Amino acid sequence: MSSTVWCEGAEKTRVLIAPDSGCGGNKPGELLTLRHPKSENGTCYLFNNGMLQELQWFKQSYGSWFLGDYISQDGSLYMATPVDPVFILLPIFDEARMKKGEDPGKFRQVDEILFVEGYPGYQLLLSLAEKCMDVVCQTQEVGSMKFYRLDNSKVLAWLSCKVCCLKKTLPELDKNYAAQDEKQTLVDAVSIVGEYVKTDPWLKLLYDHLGLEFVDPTTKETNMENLPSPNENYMEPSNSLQEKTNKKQGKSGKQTKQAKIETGSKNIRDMFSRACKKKC
Amino acid sequence: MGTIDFRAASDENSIADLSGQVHQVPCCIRFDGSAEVSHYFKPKSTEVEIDGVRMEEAHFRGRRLQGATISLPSGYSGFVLGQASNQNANGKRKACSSTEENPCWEAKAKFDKMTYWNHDNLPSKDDTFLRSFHWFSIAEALHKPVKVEDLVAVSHGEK
Repeated sequence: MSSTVWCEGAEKTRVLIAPDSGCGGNKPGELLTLRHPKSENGTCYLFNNGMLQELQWFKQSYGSWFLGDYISQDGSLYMATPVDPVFILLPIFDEARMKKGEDPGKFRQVDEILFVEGYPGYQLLLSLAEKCMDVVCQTQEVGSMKFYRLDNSKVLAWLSCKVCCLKKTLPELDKNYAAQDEKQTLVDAVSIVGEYVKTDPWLKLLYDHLGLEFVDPTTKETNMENLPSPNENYMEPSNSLQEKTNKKQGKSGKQTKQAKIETGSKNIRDMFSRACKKKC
Repeated sequence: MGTIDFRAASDENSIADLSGQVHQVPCCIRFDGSAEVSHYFKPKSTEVEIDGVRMEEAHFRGRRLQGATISLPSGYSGFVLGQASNQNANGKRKACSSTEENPCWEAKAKFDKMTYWNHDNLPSKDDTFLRSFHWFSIAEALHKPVKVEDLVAVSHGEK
């Protein structure tokens, strides 16, 4: 197939890096709106070939694409990476157990737990939830029915695993990471995990468990507020994000790294539909 | 709320391969559509290598650009998604894309490497574009499923 005809019939284009395994499905991947596990805002996820993926959006202040013999004005790069469904389902399972104080709460069935008002997307995750939530829940089987209740100590052990994996990976990224001491790497690992779980109780429990001093996360959350909100115009905030990154880049190694994490790990809400709307 | 259809990409022959022809240029070009890019934009490789990054050279509108080619991480491919136009050959609106709330994207082309171009500075490992690729390693570490055995190992190892 010649490289010039691929764009026929397409009114707009996006450049996306996504797992190869997503091509093998027998139906199109679905864009789902689910609640972000930290912010609770509606966020766009891709559910493709049985795999839940999150979408990241990277855009420099100025940039366009040459795609073969085609020009795309929007120089954005989108990245779809698998997300551990446990992160996404954690707040849903947390609410469903109706825990009060010392009472560990109720056992519930998965289909009941995944009924989240205003978010029908969760119901597509039924078989995924049955497969993955054992690791953080106590379960009870009655006949053919299985009941789940989130277990705090299991969640904490699970979060520690995540921190442990990240701590191993960070020094391998580049020499700036490799050069920093172990304590700082641990703090970075916890802060990355912290972008996916609520401060209260999970992040506080994790800090406590790891013997780290709890840092008031408000500084970080201020940063999050500066990010594009679903209702804002898409082009403006992307520039501000980039300027922020550039400013930080000029400073010490630690800040360079944080800047990187920011560009890399922010979730872009509703990006496919929103970006489209603005252009229409 | 919308779909992304990758199915065409599972068959090598049914989708264009743009590997080596995907360039991120450091300026905003106010145009979307076909253009004779390959006729005018001719990147050349150079002998210059800095910090393991091999520099390439090209010119755009008389300006010298310095770039580097990145291979995509293993297990990943690049896709150019197209949104089907709202009208089909008969001028009727297609059901699928008639609502802006439910965009239907489709993989139109595939690639396994991309080149980014700097205007004022040599490509280096500190370039934001290169560093954005760290995300793939971080995501792998952060999101790979935890097995029950791993949980036991962690809680015992710490106590």
